[in-house]
Amino acid sequence: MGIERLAITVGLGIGLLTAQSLAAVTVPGFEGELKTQLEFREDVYDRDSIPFDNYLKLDVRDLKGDSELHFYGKLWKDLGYGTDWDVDLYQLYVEVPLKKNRSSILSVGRQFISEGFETYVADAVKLDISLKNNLRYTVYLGKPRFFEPNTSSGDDLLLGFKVDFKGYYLSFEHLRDDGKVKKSSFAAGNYRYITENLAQYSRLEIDTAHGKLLDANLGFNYFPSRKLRLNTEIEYYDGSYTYDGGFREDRIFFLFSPRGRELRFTQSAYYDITKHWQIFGNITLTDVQRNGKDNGYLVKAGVVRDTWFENGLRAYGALLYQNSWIGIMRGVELGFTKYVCKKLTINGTADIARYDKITYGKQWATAYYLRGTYQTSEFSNLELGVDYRNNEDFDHDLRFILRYNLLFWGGTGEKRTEDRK
Amino acid sequence: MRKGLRLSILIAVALIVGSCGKGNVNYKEELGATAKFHHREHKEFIDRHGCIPCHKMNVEMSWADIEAAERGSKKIIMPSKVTCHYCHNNPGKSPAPNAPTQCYICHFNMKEIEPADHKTANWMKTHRFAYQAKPQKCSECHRQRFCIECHQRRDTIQHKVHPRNYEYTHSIEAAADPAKCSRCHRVGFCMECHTKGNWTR
Repeated sequence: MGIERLAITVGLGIGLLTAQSLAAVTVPGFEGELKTQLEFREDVYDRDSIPFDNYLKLDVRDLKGDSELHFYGKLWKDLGYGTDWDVDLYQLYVEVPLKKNRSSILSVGRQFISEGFETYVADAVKLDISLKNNLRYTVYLGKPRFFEPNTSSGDDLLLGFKVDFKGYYLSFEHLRDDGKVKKSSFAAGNYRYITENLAQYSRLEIDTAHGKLLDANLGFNYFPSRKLRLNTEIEYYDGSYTYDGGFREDRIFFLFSPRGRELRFTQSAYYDITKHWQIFGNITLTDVQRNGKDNGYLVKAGVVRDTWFENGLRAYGALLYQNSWIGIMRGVELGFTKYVCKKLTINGTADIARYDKITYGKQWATAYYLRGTYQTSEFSNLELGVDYRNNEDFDHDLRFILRYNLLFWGGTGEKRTEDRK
Repeated sequence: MRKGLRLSILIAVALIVGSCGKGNVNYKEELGATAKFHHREHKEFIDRHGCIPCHKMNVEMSWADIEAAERGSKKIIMPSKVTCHYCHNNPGKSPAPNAPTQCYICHFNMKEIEPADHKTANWMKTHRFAYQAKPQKCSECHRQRFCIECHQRRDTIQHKVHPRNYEYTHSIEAAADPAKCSRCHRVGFCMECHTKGNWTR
């Protein structure tokens, strides 16, 4: 944590400094975003909670050898609870092109990796090589880092490779933790346009360490006209071996997860009725193996009204229906964005649901959010939001949110001479 | 503290509401991508290269030559998005490393520029297939940190994926499609609330 705190402090310092005018000094091109937010809320124990979150994103380009530095971190504490400062360092890595045309790139440091079965932020070394015939190789080795509450980073080891060629790929990923193999999977798949209007995709994943077929997908995107967009997908998934048997201490996963395979079918549609009206719908049917069988239904259908260039308004409304062995939920989602004038934009959402669960019976779950964004300068704004949530069992939750966003960039206007030669 | 907080919020609301002033808003002009373009912010480039790189035309002119600029403006051709993206969305190859790359600087309504497959009402689930097969296609518009915003970063303020009342209703969806949760969340995340009773973040 010490290194992370130092890194983010240095990063924040660099960000603040570079946000100032540095016209007289020759510096590499940089671009960043500073976001600081303060939230006031009363928790369920009637205590004041004031989370204070500061985010910095920073890219420094055109460094020696045309390399780039990327940084993304969060520095936060709860002013209400009086907790210590804490740090989440999501990214701090250097991208070094091994060839002038950037066909081979070496990335070293904390970075996002999503080439195999899951997505990770990992302290890793990654090499991407693109050949002229569209063949690409990716090889990586590192240690994953986790940021969710109650999920600490262990001594995990992640390694993998991927080969992709014109929309087809084959990948292998191996994950160990505490000296044991957690997963070791081969995945193969594709995403390609069969015709201009029809795209097909597929994916097959086999966990070779446990000898299981984990996941299989087949889907199509179909665009019969400029107005209509359709998606159809089927999936087979069986992750039950990961929590059954040896992992029963994960009671939540065990209770909510199937005892065997899950089959899923999803059909989605999006249609532009007129220039200003669009409708969309999404239905998912699942067949989940539990003690016997259980089916699930997830439906969402709605309408969008988009008059952005006429009066700066984009609004939507949707109906939801969900049904599983836990219960039934019927809900409404409403939202809008209104550009009032150059200085002010307003956003709002309302999520209202009536559910009947086997655990709590019939209840309402409502959430309202209203936010005003005030343009403080050409590239900075101040947001003020109010968030209210209410439920019979969990009581209400009222939050005031204040956020300041600043974009900044600078540096010399042209690439380094040595690299242009 | 709460009294002071309420007062500051009231002042902030009053400032925001009173910020617009009078006069009609020309939405078409103010909300188009080119509305954000200012010649003054590109002065250094124009001083160095003149007008021709953006406005392709058969008139010889320079930034300082007002008469030529007048003549040129009658034959001017507005630059296309290719011209803008050459510097602003050309990762690793942009000739101007100081050119900002965030799309929303110019594209105020990001829905305008979504590709067709993003608007299929199921893109949240299917984007992984597109990424894994052609990651370079995604990087034309997105950087790594865009993925991190949803996949790794956790704060309750922004609610980028689920509706805001989701903490009350999620078990119904989790039981209907359990494969979905573990793609982004680890079991410790569930236990944070289910064992401690409250997640403050």
